[in-house]
Order: sequence, then C-alpha cells, then structure tokens
Amino acid sequence: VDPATDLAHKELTAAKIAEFVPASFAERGAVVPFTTPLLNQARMRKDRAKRVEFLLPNFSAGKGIYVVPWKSLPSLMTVTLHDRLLYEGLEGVDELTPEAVRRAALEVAAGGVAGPQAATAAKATRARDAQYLTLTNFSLVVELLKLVGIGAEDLLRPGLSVEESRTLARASLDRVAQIVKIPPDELSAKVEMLSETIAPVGLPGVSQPGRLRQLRTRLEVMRHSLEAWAEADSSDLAQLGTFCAQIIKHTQELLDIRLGRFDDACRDLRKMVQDDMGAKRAILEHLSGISWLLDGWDFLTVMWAAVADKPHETQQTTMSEMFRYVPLIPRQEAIAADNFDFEGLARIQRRWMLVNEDWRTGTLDMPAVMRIEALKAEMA
Amino acid sequence: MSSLAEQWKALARDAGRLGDEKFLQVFKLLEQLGSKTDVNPALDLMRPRLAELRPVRRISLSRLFFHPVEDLLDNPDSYRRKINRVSRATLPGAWAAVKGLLDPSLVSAANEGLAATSPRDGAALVEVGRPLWAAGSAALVEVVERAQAEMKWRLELFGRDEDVLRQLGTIREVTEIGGEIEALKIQLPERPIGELAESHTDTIKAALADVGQESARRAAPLLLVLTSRMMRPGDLLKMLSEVRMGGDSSVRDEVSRDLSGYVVSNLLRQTSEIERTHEGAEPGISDLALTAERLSEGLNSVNETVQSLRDAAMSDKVKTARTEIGNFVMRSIVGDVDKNVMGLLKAPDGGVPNDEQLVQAENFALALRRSAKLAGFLGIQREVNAKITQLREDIGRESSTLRKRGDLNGDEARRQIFGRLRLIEILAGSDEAERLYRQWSQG
Repeated sequence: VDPATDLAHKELTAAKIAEFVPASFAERGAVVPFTTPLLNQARMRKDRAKRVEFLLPNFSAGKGIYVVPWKSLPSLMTVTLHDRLLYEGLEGVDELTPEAVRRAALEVAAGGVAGPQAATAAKATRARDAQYLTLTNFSLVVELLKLVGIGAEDLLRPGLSVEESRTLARASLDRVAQIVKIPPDELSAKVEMLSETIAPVGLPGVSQPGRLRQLRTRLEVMRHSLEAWAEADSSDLAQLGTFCAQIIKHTQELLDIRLGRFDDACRDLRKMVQDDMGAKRAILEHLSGISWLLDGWDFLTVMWAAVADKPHETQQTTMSEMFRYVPLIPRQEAIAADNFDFEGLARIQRRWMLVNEDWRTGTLDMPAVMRIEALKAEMA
Repeated sequence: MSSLAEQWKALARDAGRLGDEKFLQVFKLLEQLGSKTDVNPALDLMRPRLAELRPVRRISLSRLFFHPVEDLLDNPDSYRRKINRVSRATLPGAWAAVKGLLDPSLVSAANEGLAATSPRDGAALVEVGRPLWAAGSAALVEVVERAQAEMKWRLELFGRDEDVLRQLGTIREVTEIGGEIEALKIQLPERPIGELAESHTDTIKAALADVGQESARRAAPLLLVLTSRMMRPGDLLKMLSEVRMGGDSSVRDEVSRDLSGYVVSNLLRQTSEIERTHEGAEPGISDLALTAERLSEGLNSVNETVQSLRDAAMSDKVKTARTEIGNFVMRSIVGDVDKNVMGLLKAPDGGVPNDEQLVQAENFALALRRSAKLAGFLGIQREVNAKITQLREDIGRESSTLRKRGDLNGDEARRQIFGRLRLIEILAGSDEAERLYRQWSQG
C-alpha cells in the first residue's frame, strides 16, 4: 500500500457519517452533466462568498469528496470543450437548482458541442418539454371550464367546427374569469404562468405523467432490479447494491410526501388562480424539493439500464462505479438516521474500481467521453 | 439446397407471422433438430427478428464441455501449430470420442442440469459443468492413448494430422481444471479484459495459488486461458511472480517461460492474421484501430518479459511483429484518413454532412488518435504526426469556407461548426478546440 493511499484510508476511517452525508441540498450541490470522465456527475455549489466550487466523486484512492474551484480544474485534468461551455452557461445563473442546470445543459448540448447525437437528443427533449407544457396548459383550462359546467366533451362535440369550439371555450373562460373575479386577459396569463410552474412534475391524475413523475417510476424499477441483483450477487458488491436500493427507498418515501403536497396544491383551482403568486410559491417549493431529491438519479437509472443485458461481471464493475455517484439524502431531510457503514462500503468500492491509466494522468480519454455523451443523450 | 431445407425455410417464414413467444418456441425447436446443414438456412431467416427479441441461446452439452477451451480455439484456416492452440476442426471428433466414454447417467444428469439452468447464469453453469469436465478430461486420457495405438480409428475421427494428439492433450489439461477456470472467468471483466480492479487481481492470485497449490504446472492451463482473454497478457506474467505456488521453483520458472513463449507466439500469430481477419468483412475504422491497439498493447505488455528471456530469435520476432502492426496501421488507418474525413465533411451535392456522416468522421479522427498513442511504440510517430497536422489544417481551411457560406440557418451553421471543433478536439485536444472556438466566435 502506498503511503498516500494508506493516509487516505486512515482519514476515511476517522471520518464520521456526518462527513459523508451532506447537511442540506445546497451543501450537496446540483449535479452538472459534464462529459469529462473525471467530472462525471460532479456537483456544483456556491461557497459562502458566492464563488462556484465543484464536488468531485472520489476518483483515485477514495479520499471522500474533492472540493475544487473551477480555476483549479485545468491543473488536475483536461476538461472537454463541452464542459467549458456549460460552465460558462452556468456562471450567470443566480440559483444553481437542478432545473436551472438542466436548462443550461440542454441549451449547450443542442448546439452540437457534445456531438450530433446529443444535439438531436437535446432538441427532442426540449420539444417534449414544450409539448408537455401545452398539455398542462390545456389540462388547466379544461379543469377551469369545469367551474362553469363545461367539459372537454362539450368543446369537442360532433358537428362543432374548430372556430365554434374556440369561441365556446373563449366565452366559457370569460365566465370563469367572472366567477373568480379576474379580468379575462389576466386569467390566461396566470394559467400560462402556472402551467410553466407545474409542467416538470405535471398535474395529478393526468394520463401522461410529467417528467419528474416518470423518473420516480424509473427509480422504482431500478430499486427492484438492484434488490434482485444484490440477492443474486455472491460477492461483497451485493452490499453496495443493497445500499443503493435502500437509498432509493428512502428517497421515494420523501418524494411521495412532497408529491402529495404538490398534488394538494394543484387541486383547488379557484384558489390557485385567485392567489396565483401564493400558489406559485407553494408549488415551486414542492417542485424544488422533488427535483432536488431526484437530482443525479436520472443518469444512474440510464447507466444501470444500459447494462441490464450485459454479463454479471460487467454489472459488477458498473455497480462499483455507480456507488460513487449515489445522491445521498441530506441530513436535514432524512426521516430516520441511516446506519450505513460508509467506510466499509467505500472500501468495497475501491477494491472493485477499474484503474484507468488516462484518468490517473489527467489525459482526456476520448472514448470514455463519448460513452458518457451517449448515456447522457439517453436522459430525459 | 435440399428440399428438406426448403421446407424448414418455409416454416421459418410462416413463423414470422406468429407472436413473439410462439416465434421463440419455433426457433428453439428448429435449433434442437439434428442436421444443421438443412436447418441453418431457416435459422438464418429468423435471426434478424431474433436479435430484436434477444432470446438466450440454448447451450448444448458439447458447447458446455468446450467452454473452458473457448479462448484457445482458432478457425481451421488460421490455426497455428505448436503454440497450445486448438483448431475448431478437432472439436467434433473429440466430442464424439469423449461422449462415447462418458457414463450415460452423468450425461443425462448434465443434460437435465442444462435444461434447468438459464444460459445467463454463469455460476450455475459452472456447477453443471464440473462433473462433465472432470469425467471428460479423464476420458481424453483414454482417447489419446487409443488415438496413438489405433491408426485407423484416429484417421476416421480426426484425419491424418498427428498434431491432433497435442491438441487433445491441451483440451485434456484445460478441462481437468475446467471448474476452476470457469469459476474464475465469471469473476473477471468481459473479454478482452482491459483494466483490472484490486478485487480482480486478488481473485486471480487466489485462484492461481489454489490451483497451483501442489505444483505450478497444474496452473499452466489456467494461465493459458487467462492470457488469451487479456488485453495486456504481460500484466499476468508479472503477477505470476507474486503468487506463492507449490513445488520446485524451477517448475514455476519453466511454466513462466513456456507461458511467455505462448503469449508472444499467439500475439505474433494474430499480427500475421491481422489483414486476413478483416478480409471481406469490411470492418469499421474503429474495429481496425481497436485491433491494432489490442495487439500493440499486448506486445508492449510482454516487452520486459521477452527481454528477460534473452532469446534473440524471440526478440527479433517481436520486432518484426511491431513493424507489421506499424505497416498495418499506416496502410489501413493513417494512409487515407484525411481523404476519408474531408470526404465526409463535403457532401457531394454541396450540402452539409448529416449526423451519421459527422459521427463517421469522428470515428476516423478517433482511430487516428488511437494510432497516435501507439505510434511511438510502433515507430511511426513522424508519419502519424504529419498526418494529424495536415488534417487539422484541412479542417481549418474547410471550416473557414463553411463559415463564409450564407445559405445555412443559425442552428445548422452552429451544428456544423461544432462538428468540426469536435474533430479538432479529438485530434489536437480541448485547449486547441477552445482556442479555435473563441477565434471563430469573434469573426
């Protein structure tokens, strides 16, 4: 054992759980979809002086997490052009939330710097977002019309021309505006604004669930897969699988509470449009909790699904890699204190980690970059 | 084609109209039929849809028996003698002879085990295989004896070549520790094994110590299989000195020497095959580059060991192999790479490359970058560097023409520019790509 590794190990042994688990989401930072292998799933946050810093998953001897300001990165590794441009895009962002990072990342990827396939995927994702926004807007209007006794079927009645249907909708909305005591013009602006706020999660009870609700479902699938995998694996890696599944379970429990509150906030439509700023605030608060809880999981579900049909030995190396990226639940959020042996788990992970020469020297491993690009293009 | 084959094909065509489940059932039934020449065309018809459904292939008893040897197998036309390889042509005869000597109850137990085991369950397959490998290996002792004694019998089963006796010996040695070999394989990364984790190294060392407890000689077949699976077999040779094995130390040295000889000869064999492997198959540029990389890495990894052998003939051979790989890289990757890339960037109708063409251009650039990494070792540094410089200039020139074009909308223009910047990034690094990005953004 070389002295550096030994020292790192001792540090790790001495570390308390508090050092592994962040206190809050802000401390955990938001995952930025970088493509430089060493920056994969790195988290970005602002320090007290509002300077941006990065938290890198432990990549060599597992000294825990590295906290590095952007300026120091070039001395550690070669950073892809994509990551440089993404960083520029994020610099001006006031609040580094998962949603803000996602917007910036899609913008950069759509340009083509992460390759033509990533560009096409990013454009498709943005188009889907826009479609879903329209759907949400439409659903809200339909719900509002119910206040004056008009249903979707009335607007789509056979024999009604498109123009007639539109006129009916407009007239009905005017009546809604009267009931909720808002000028008609303002009503549609409010509905639009609320739609934008709601769309990432989507309205409750809509047949097509929103993006974050879909991710929750994918997480559920992943948890079952991990549990079965850990059951079948005879090595010590099974512990990592169980750990990930457990974290997902807790994440889901917290998520479901948030989703419940989100849905409640969306239910009283009349109140929602009357106190639109209040409603927006409440919805945003729940949305923020939901997106922070899910932050980082999108990539992991894609990563795990990509090896579903691969031999068990490939799943093993993926498992050990995935462990480094698992989004731990901040101490502020946790319902019950988890009693994980982080030090033991990290030791297992280190024993299973493939050592890549390029990574050690900081040279950019282009094939690895492209594998990451391909996986990220799969993300929604 | 026989009329029977035609009938099977008709059945396969009809099966195409069935639901997935039924379709798979028909495939499985066909696969179990005896005469392959009749059935194969029908199976070929079904394969495209099969690839989508990805059913797990049924494993036959003979295939399970030869699992431990699979990494040593060569096609009859590329088989090279005397280096512990086995020709696929030997397998049918070997299996027929072995099967005839196996206890019928063992055969039926193994068959039942196979039927009840998912072909994806590596660990379970090892357990099904263990008794088969042990008994089969013992049977091979008899087979070899009989083949030596009864010329007529041997001619019938294997033909005239005496080399078959040595091949049978190799199969016997490998299957003797078949359980250990297969148990180890499922604990290591997929082949070709590139990087190893600490846990993998520990597992390999433990397996070697275990198998070689009495004598290092017994571990030789395991080493043979393992080096054949590794990108850098030399790493295993180095590992060997760190493992405690039983028996005389001279035995271990001998095993180590034999193994070095095998590793080098096997790499040389693959090098001389390098052109033929890809003949007619039209490999992608990425495959060519990977092959060259695999062979160079392999040779590079045994460098030290070869030097320590002080075998002038061997050193010469390695030198020749390097030159051969170097020539191959120059001819099939570096030579036309600039024409290929620029051809892809310039769509014939004056349009711009689509996604697929951009990706293809990236693949050429990546292959060149891979070659650049090997160039020092292969002695083609100057040529490769010159090519990279030239291609960079070509791309730069082409991009400035592109930027002056007025017929592209903003989105498309940006996409095309980034397409070229990515090529620069692959060839010359991210700093150079960023420099050009800033420069191009200004003007």
